[in-house]
Amino acid sequence: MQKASKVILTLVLCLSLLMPMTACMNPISLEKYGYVLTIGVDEGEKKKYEITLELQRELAGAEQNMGPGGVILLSEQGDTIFEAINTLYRRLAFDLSFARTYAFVFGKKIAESGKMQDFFEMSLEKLRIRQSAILLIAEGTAKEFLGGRNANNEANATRVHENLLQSERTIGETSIMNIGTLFESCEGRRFDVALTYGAVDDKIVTDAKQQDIASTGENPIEDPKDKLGGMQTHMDGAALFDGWKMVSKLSAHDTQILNIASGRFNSGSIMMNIDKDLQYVILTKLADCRIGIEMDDGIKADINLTLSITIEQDPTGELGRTWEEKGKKMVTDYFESELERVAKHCQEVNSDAIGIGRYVSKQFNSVEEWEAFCWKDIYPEIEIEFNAEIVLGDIYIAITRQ
Amino acid sequence: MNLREGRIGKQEGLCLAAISMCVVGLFTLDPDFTYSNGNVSYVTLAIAAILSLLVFLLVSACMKRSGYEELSEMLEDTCGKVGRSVISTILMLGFAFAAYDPLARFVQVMHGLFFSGVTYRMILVFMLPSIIIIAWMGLETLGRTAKCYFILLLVVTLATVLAAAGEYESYRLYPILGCGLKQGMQLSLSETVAFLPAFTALLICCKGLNGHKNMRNVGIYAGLISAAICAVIQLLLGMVFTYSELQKLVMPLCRINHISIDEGNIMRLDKIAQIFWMNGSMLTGAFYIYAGSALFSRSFGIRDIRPVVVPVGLLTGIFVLMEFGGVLSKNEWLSHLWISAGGAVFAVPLIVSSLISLFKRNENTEKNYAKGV
Repeated sequence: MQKASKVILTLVLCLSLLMPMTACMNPISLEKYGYVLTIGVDEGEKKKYEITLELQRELAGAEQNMGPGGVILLSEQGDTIFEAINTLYRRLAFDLSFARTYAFVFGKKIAESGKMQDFFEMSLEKLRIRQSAILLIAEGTAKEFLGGRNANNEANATRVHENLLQSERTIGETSIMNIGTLFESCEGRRFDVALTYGAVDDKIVTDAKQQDIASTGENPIEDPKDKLGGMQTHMDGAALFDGWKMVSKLSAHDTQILNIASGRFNSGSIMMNIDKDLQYVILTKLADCRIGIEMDDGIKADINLTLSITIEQDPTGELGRTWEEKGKKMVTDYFESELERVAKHCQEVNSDAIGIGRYVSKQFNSVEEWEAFCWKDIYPEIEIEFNAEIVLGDIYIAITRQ
Repeated sequence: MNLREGRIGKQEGLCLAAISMCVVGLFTLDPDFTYSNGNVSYVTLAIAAILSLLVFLLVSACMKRSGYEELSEMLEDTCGKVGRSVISTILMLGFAFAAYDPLARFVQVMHGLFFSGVTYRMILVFMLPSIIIIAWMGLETLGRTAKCYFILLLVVTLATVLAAAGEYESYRLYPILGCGLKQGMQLSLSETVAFLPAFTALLICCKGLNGHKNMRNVGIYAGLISAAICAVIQLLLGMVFTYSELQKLVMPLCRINHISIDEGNIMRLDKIAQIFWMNGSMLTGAFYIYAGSALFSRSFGIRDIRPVVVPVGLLTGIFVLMEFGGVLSKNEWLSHLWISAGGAVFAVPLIVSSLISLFKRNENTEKNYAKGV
C-alpha cells in the first residue's frame, strides 16, 4: 500500500513538473499587446525627440504579410518618450508593452550632442524596460536604420538580435553594451563605452524584394551592380564615447583591435594587411589579457595579451613556413602596432574604451582620493604599452596547408 | 494570559530570527547613507551583527543570572513598573517602525516593478491584513511558517545571485574599504538597526523559545548565519554595481538580474524571487508586530495579545502611509534619525536594564550575605 502511494505521488509530481512545459495559457495576450522590441531615438523637428518603435505584433490573419517574426514600425514626436507614446496611443487599437524591449537605437546626431543623458533621465522602470537592453548608434537616423533593418520582412527580429550577440562572440567586429554598462561608465567614470555602430545601405536588394519582383515574372536583379540579399542594414564598427557623448567612430577592424585591448574579444578573423596586394587572414583567440598599472612616475599602463592564432590565409606561404624565424615577429609587431594605434586614437578623443580606469581605481585606498583624482582629465596623457604574445595553434597545418 | 506564545523549537526560532535579520539587512539599508563614501556594507553589516549579538548575549546572561523568565520581568525589576511601561511603549513603537521599514520598501518596489497602475495604498491594503493575521495567530504560527520559508528564501536568493554569475567584477569594489575606519564604525553602529529588533524580539519570546538556553543558542546561530548571508550578498552586489550606482538604487538585489545582456529564462524569474522576498518581509513585519504587542501586553497587564496586535499593526500601516503621503519625507530628520540611530532605541534600554540588573544582583547578594542568608 505504502509502495503504491509512493508511485502515485511520484507520478503526480512528474505531471506537475510537466505542466510548466505546456503552451501559453493566455494566447490572446499577443493580440492584445504590441510588444516593443526596439526603441529608436532621433532629434525631432517640432519636438525634442522623434521616437520610432519597432513592434512585434501578431495580428490575427496577418502572419502572411509579416512573417513569423515580422515587425511593424511606429513613430511619433515628443519632448519625452512618454509624450510620444501618449500621442501614439491616440491612433492605436492596442496596448504597448515594453517588457520585451531589448534594444535602443540612437541616431548619430543625438549621440554626438550628448542628449542621450537627457533622454535617460526617464524612468526605465515606469515602462518596465530592463537595463539589459542593448544600445546601438545609427549612422543616419534611428528611423532610417530600423526601416532598413525591417526592409527584409523575412528576418525574424529575435534572430536578428541573437545574431548580433553571436557575431560579437565569433567575429568581434561589434561592441555590444547595455544601458546598465552605459550608466556605470557615466556615473563611475572608470571607463567609457564603445557602442555598436550600424549603417543603412538602401541599394541592397533584400530577399523579400527579390521574391516580390520574381513573382511578377521579372528578373529580380534589376541592376547587376546592386548588392543582393540580407537586410539593408549592417554593423559597421563601434561608436566611441566620452561619457554621454559620442566622440568618434571606429571601423570594424579597429573595433576588433579595441576588443582585444580591452579583453572583451573572444575570437574572430583578423585581416592583416601588409601592403595593397598582400593580405593575411588570422583566426585569433584572446587567451589572456592582463592590465598592470604603474603610478610611480606618471601613469603607465602595461597591457599584456596572449593571442592564440590559426593562419587562415597565407597567400605566399611564407608566414607559416618561416614562423619561428620571421613570421612570429611579424604578427607580434603587427598586433602591437595596431593596438597602440587604436589606443592612441582613444586617448586623442578622451574615450577610455579600453577601460584602463578600472585598474587605476584599484590603486587608491580611499573614495575621497579616487574622486579627487579626476581620471578622465589625466587619461589622455598616460603611457600605454602593449606586449602581445602570439601562440600559433598548429604549426604543422601552418606549414603544410598553404 | 493569552499571549498566543505556544512553544517553538530551535529551528523555528532560528529561521524566524534569521529571515527578519536578512530581510532588513539586505533590503532596507538607505542607499544614499550606506554607499555615499564607497561600499563597505559587506564588512559593516557583519560587524553590526556581531555588535548586536554581543548586546543580546549580555542581556541574555543577565536574565539568566537573575532568573528572569522573559524581558518584561527584567524591565520591571530594574526600572520599576512605570519605567517598564515607558520602555515597553518605546520598544513597541520601535518595533512598529522596524516593521514599517521593510514593508514600505517592498510596497514601493511592488508598485515600481509590478503594479504601477494602482496606488501605494491599494498595495498596502493587500499586504497589511495578511501581516496582522499572521501576528494575530501568534509565535508558533510565525515560527513554523518561517521554518517552511527559510530554505525557500535561501534557494531563491542563491539562484538569483548565481544567475548573475557572469556579471561579477572585482574592480567595482574599489577603492576597497575606502570610507575609512571612523565612518566604517559609524556605519556599523547605525546598521545594528537591522539586527537588534530581531534579537530583542527573541528576548521577549524567551518563554516561547523554551527558556534561556534555547533562546541564547537561537540568537547566536541566527546572528552568525545572518551576518554571513548579508556580508556575502552585499559583497556580490558590490561586484555588480559600483558604489555610485548603489547610491541611487532602492533594493539593488531585486535588480541584480536586470543588467546581463545574455538574457535567459532564469533571468526573467526575478519577479518570482521578489514575491518570495516580499513574503519574507511580511513575516518579518508580523514577527516585530507580535513581539512589540507581547511586550506591551505584559507590561500593561493586558491579558490578551489580540487587541494589541491590531493597533500595532495599524500603526505600522500608518507609518507606511505617512511615508507615501509625504509626511515622513517632509520630516526627514525622523527617517535620518532612525537610519543613523535606530539601533539605539533597542540597545540603550536593554544595556541600561542589564547593567542595573547586574548591580542590583550584587546589592541583593551583599544584603543576603550580611543577613547570613
